[in-house]
Amino acid sequence: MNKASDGRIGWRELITMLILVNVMVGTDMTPVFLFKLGKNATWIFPLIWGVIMIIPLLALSSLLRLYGDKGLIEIIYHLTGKYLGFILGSGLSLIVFNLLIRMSSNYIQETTEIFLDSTPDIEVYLLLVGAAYFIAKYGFETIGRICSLLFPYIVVSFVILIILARMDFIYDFLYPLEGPGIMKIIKSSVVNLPLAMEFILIATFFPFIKNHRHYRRGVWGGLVVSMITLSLILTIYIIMFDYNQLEVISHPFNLLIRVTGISRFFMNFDAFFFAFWLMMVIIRFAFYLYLNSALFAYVLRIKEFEPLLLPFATLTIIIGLPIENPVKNIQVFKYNLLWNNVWWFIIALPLLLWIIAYLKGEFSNEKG
Amino acid sequence: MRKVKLLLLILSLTLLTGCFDKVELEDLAYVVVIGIDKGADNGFEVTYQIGNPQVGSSDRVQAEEPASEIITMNVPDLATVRDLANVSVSREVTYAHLKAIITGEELTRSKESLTLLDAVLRDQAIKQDVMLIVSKEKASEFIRGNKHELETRPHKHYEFMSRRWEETGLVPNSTLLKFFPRILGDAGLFLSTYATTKKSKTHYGYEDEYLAGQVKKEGGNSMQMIGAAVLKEGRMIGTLNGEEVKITLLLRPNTVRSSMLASYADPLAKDKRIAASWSKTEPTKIKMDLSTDIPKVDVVVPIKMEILSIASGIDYVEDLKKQKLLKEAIARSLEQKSMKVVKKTQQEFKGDPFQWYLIARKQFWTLAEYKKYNWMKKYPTAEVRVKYDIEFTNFGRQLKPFNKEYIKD
Repeated sequence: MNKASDGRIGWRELITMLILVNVMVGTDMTPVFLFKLGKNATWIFPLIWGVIMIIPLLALSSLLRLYGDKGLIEIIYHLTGKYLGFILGSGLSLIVFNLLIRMSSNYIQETTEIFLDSTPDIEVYLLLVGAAYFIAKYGFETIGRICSLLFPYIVVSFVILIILARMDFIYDFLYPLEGPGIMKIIKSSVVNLPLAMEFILIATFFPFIKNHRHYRRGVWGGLVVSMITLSLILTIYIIMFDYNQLEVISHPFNLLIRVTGISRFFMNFDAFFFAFWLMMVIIRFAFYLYLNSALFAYVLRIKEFEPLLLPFATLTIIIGLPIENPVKNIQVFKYNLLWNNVWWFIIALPLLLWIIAYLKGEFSNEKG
Repeated sequence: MRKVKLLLLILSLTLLTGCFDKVELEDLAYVVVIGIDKGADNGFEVTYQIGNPQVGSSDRVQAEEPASEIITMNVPDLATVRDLANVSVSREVTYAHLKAIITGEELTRSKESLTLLDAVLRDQAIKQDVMLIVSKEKASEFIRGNKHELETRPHKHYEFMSRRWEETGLVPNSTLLKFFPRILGDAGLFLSTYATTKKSKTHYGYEDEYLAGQVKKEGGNSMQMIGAAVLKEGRMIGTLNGEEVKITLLLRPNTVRSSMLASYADPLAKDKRIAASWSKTEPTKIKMDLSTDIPKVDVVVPIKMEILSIASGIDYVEDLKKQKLLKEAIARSLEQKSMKVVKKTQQEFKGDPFQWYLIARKQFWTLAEYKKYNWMKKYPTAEVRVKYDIEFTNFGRQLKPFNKEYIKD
């Protein structure tokens, strides 16, 4: 297995990276806001995201095959020209930067609020973003390697969590099946589609992936696995706590790991899961930090983007730190321009690119 | 680059050592039981039972210390009491090993009862598997009166008791995890463990027809825990005795009990009892018809039974006809008792403690329809039919009873 590294990753790294980064959404405060919309049918949301994602992903996939060695931003520039390309690219870049800041502040506040009461936010911020920076600094391949290394352990800890929590499950909490009604479920899940936007954005790194076959395998496999896992996590919350309570509590994941324990000998078992959770937080930070720097560099056509990691890490801390509390954070994050319009942007962008490519006749060029 | 590395090294020294949240085990006071009563001026009277980790450990040097310390304070709300406790407790109070929350009956019956638990849900340190107990007297008196001499350490006492309850079914398995969905769902009654340390008028009944304090018993701990306090919308509205709790648990859809002991009237010999141990290993089958305004509920409870003793000496074992007779008699008596409990909940409590609302939820497609149906309002008018499906699985080590006449001869 000691192949010389060429800076490119295979489908194994890609699939684990996508799963770890995406599934994290289920363990922070996001589900609380989803449960307000979806009630006891929230578990359907990820499945709907998965289905909707198919169309833009297909479009994107055919574009990537067409252009071989180009990433998402390069394709945007190539197809839409200098000015429109810049607008679209910087749009994506801003969305990711916004997400990075909101997300980091959210995780850090969750950590300090629940586990490390008296530790100042800045310490945790420095530690976690610092660790993420170090991982990101070694490049995309390293992030992928770390993901594929950690993945089995995280799966095992997740399975242990399910086994320990299983005793208290009441499956009847899933009924009535439609919850707030089919239309409402579809509507609110589509609006929250950006929670799965990693699958589109990963196309930015297409030049770092071995070839199109690896990309296809990684993205489709990752989409299926992580949407099902996410759905499973939401289902566990529902059958454990019922939707009424989920609308009131703030950290369902934390509550879940606190009820588990191994008989009467290991009553406080949450620290075990906390360790794995922290690792995943760092991976998610690293991924987004890298993505953000890469998008920024590609949009501005900077050749080397790795020197940008440190400034962006610093910027994340500086902007994220003054945010007062996680609720305010998510409320602002939810109702601002950079989030409310993301869902259609995410769907429309690949389709738009594909249509432009089609009209320009790029597909027929390939054949001919 | 070297400078950067040096800087990072120094940074990691301050960051990674993690001294901010360092706590020595010695510095903490572990609250094992919290008792809450009504206090003066809309406040609460909070009682802490703080465990002493030194007692019962191998470190026997200062074994003369008591196993726990009990303090009671008057406070305006539950959250601030932790700091106030330090007026006399020398360590930082922590809820990490909290086992039980005990509320006095007076408080539980009052309006404040629900708002009080808001503080409990908000508190990060309280785990959801904490037991809820309602004490007949004031909680502070209960905690002081509960003298568990064989398990000197309080956490062990509550832990062991709760594990036994899960098997005997004389008290409901009432934890915060079960409490919040029930109360927030506003669909059913919550049963909380009922306990007392005061003796009330004792009477003689069959093994489970008691409420806490009514069991005649000599010696041992004066505490008695049997029966349940019935909570509707977070407020206590009545009690169920041990037998009624047992039946309630049987009628619930998901409960599984490994073995409970009970005795039944002998169908052929008056005044004689037949003792049996029974278990419920399968979920209760509940069918519901909610098409009309009067809900129809059909319940079939599968029970596996083991005969332990036959006082009358009649052969119910090898004679299959008599076996059938016994089966029917036991089923009938259980059905009658169940119907009595159902009537009681319909007329007296006007709410359903059987978690049938879970089954009712299954009958609808959307939440809006289910909420519109309003199970809480409809339940008191429901037509309920209960059937017991009994299987004799075992007759102990002895098949036929002795022939007493023959021995006497």
